[in-house]
Amino acid sequence: MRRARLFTMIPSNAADGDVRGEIVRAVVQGKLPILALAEAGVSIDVRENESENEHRVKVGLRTPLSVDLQPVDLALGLLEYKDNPAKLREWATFIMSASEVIDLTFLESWPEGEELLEALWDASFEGRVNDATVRVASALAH
Amino acid sequence: MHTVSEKFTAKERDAESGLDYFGARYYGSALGRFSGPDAPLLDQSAEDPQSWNLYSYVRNNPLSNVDPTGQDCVYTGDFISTGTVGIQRGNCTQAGGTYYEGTIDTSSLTFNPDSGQLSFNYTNGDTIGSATIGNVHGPSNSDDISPFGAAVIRSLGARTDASYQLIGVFAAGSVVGGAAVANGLAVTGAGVADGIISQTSQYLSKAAARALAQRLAASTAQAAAAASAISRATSSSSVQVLRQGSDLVIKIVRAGANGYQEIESVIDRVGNKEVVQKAYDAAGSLVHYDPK
Repeated sequence: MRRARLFTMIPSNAADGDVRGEIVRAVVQGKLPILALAEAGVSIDVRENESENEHRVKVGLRTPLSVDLQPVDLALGLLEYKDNPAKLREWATFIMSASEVIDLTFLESWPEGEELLEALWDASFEGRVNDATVRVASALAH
Repeated sequence: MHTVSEKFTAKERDAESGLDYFGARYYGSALGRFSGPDAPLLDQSAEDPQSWNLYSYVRNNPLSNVDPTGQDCVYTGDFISTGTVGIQRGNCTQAGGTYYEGTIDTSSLTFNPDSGQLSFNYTNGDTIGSATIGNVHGPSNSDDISPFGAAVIRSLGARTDASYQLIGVFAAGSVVGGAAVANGLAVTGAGVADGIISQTSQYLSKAAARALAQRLAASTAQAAAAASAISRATSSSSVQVLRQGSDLVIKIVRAGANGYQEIESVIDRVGNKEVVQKAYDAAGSLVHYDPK
């Protein structure tokens, strides 16, 4: 069984909680790359087990951090990466795995929430966003 | 001459030794205790001094508890309300438990929703066996069981991957080798909590999974991590909640483009977790997406 490490980040000495939270928000919005999470004290290790076709993801925090997001944050990220399947998948895999930092319960109280949640699954597993979701995301972003 | 006869709780008595054979240990009727100890540190507690007597039989109270083999206990009482099965090592301390002949492999638990059969494997010394409990009924509230989850279970057929512990049809050998069949097992709704080392649920709706995870969590941090993990489930997803030792495992399954997808989160007592993503085709085979 061969394992390929897709990427690993080691968190740096992070700034205060507010700054760290804004870094994570910017990553979710697609304004900063995934690598910027290190500056927020967030590590992420993604490994691919080729023989079993599975991704193993470990997210670590130097100190606890919770970021309150809005649907528009996710919409901006989807639009940023919608034409880059590999980046889209990497971004969505982080969001789907980082429940220590991002609680997606807030989506349940928004009408667009279910659409965005389905889009995150599509993006994380298949590296694609459908046209209907792009329209929803565009409406949220503007 | 070597003779045996049926005695105490219908177990064979060895005429030469005068001991009743319980599979795992011999019970000396004259002594009122087992000739070998239970494995230590499995369920001893300060509140129950008898729990420290590793040679005692059902905590010296054979009227309320029956231990036919001196081994593990299965609780299905919660299955009808929450879809969970409890396994307790070496003792039945709660109402509604049933003893089985050995150490139960908790990862082998399978449930056939069509036949209502729960089966599992166990070891007993050098013996490896299987057991089936019949007439086990899942939650009666249809809102608790996701239709998609039930469809996934059925579509998997005879697949017995350990990552799927609740599968529509289990391997034929696990039934053929069955040593204990307890048809008509009473579903009493008995609570299972302390001492239960493993609980497995069916595929549940998001709301039902959230409630069950709160109940099974070993700590506040674990409960919070589980709730956040479940927040990834869509309204059409199915969620399975498992307690394995002190870990809580959340499996979310969703229909994908050409099959279904699974996100599994293994959460330890302090809330640390590892996530595994897997995708399956409609036949239940793992598939690989490469969006590059």
